[in-house]
Amino acid sequence: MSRLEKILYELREMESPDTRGYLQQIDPRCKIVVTVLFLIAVLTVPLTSFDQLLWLFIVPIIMSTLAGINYSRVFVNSLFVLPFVVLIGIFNPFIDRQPVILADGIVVNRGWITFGSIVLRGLLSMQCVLILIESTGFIRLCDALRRMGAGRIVTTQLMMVYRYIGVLVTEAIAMKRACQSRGFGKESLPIKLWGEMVGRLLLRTVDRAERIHRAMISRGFDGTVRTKSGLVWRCRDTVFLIVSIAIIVVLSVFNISSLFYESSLY
Amino acid sequence: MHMADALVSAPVAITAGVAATALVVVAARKISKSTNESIVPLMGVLGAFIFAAQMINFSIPGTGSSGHIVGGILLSALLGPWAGFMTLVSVLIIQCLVFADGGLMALGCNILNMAACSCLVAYPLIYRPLMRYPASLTRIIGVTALASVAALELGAMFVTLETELSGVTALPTGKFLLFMLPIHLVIGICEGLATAAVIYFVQRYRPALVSETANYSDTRSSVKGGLVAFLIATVVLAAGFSWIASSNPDGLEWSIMKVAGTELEITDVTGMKAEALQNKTAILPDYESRLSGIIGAVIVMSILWSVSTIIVRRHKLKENRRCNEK
Repeated sequence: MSRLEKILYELREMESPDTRGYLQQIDPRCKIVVTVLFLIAVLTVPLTSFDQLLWLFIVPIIMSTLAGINYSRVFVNSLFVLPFVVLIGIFNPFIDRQPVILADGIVVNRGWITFGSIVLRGLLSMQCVLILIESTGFIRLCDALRRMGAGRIVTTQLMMVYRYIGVLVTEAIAMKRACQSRGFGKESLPIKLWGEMVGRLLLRTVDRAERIHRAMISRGFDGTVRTKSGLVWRCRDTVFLIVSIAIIVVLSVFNISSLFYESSLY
Repeated sequence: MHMADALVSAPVAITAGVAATALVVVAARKISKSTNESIVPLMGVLGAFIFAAQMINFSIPGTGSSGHIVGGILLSALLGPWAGFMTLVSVLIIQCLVFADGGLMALGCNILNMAACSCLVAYPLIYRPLMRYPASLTRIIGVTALASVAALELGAMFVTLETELSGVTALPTGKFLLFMLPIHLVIGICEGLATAAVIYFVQRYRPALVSETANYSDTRSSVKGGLVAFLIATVVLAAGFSWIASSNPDGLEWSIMKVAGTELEITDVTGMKAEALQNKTAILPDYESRLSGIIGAVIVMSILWSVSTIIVRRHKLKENRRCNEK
């Protein structure tokens, strides 16, 4: 499967999220608040507290279990963030050479600890966003954002871009396939030909936008995309919010690993 | 240039988020006042176009590698600065939420680094004054390359500033800039050439599309508004960042310490209070990452992971059985 086809597949998967899990039944607004709080907690834990960051993995593991999503899949998908994070963090071990004693006879540079923490931060933040979107679906998320006060123009724009990505990616696949079948194994195109191809895609796009606009106006479009909103805040949402906040606050303030120091030989 | 959450600290992410939200609010107001009625669907479909166009690669001459368009200057040239900005913001949000490209907390930083720098700075300051339609190929290449390089270099400087203030990298600012700027110079030139190729094609086959945007009656005022809004955002950023610098000893102090080679004394009251609180709550005040703690955490997480996998599998098996029985 090519990257483009994978994107199409993922988009279709997201359109019909599995609604059987517990997390799927929680109000998306509640999930957005919990995700943002968790991200703030991840970012406020100092980079030198590598072990404390490890404990924060409790949250994505529990959330994926509640959503009925296999955590291994979430973990593997979150590895996608690694290249850029590694690129920025890899200098730390070579520059920050202050020694840190891990155990008797084991001394490492503080740079390695902070590098490890940067990687953990990347994985944690990616995982909670993946779980949020997989357990909610994009359209419901936009709806929740609108109910939370995000502007009409922003949410309409998001929904329309999302809706038409599928259409235009299909066109791009067709054009790319036509090029590949005539290109004798070349993956990328010379820039002049590329300009013509993308320009052609653009003109098709603009024509399509005009047709869409006329069709929308004839059906009474007034600038707002209307969705069948079933967002009702229930008691379980409040319970979920309180429990999640409690867990996140405890994990970000208290380092559970310190219990292990006391019981160890130190 | 998509920044991940791992590379920003909470104060930097929140400050950049506030500045980016302010710009988005201004953009939404400008668009809702726009006289061009078809702008909303056009923005929607062009956002999807940028997304699709990013999947088609061009080869970079002489290097054997390939690249794709980012699209800030192109969107501004087709839609005007504010609508272009909003479209790019929506693409960034979708990339972040649906394809996990760039972090949710770093979204504010990404909006400033990529969308604001290209649509609200490089476009009104470089592209608009220098471009006259119909333009020759040389002019299009020159102007778009200049605007794209300016946008990307400014964006790269913002990335450096945000990462340094977050205290994530141990690289001193000067060295970090030396690492970031040349890479983004090359990327900017490629982006400029690619944008020029598309704009040249559009000008040849559908000239109205680019020249109409340039002649919108509200362009002049919107450009002025753009600059004012960007200046305000910069002031918010500067104020926020100076607050971070004074109250977050973990971030800036650490990077200054790296450059100066000495530890700074915390003189302000907030800092002293924070230190006192930290000393109270932390069992081992001057951090020592004990191996036993790390091993303990890894073991517990592995057990949780296994239990989670078993629960999810059992649940799915039960669901399948129930479906089969029905």
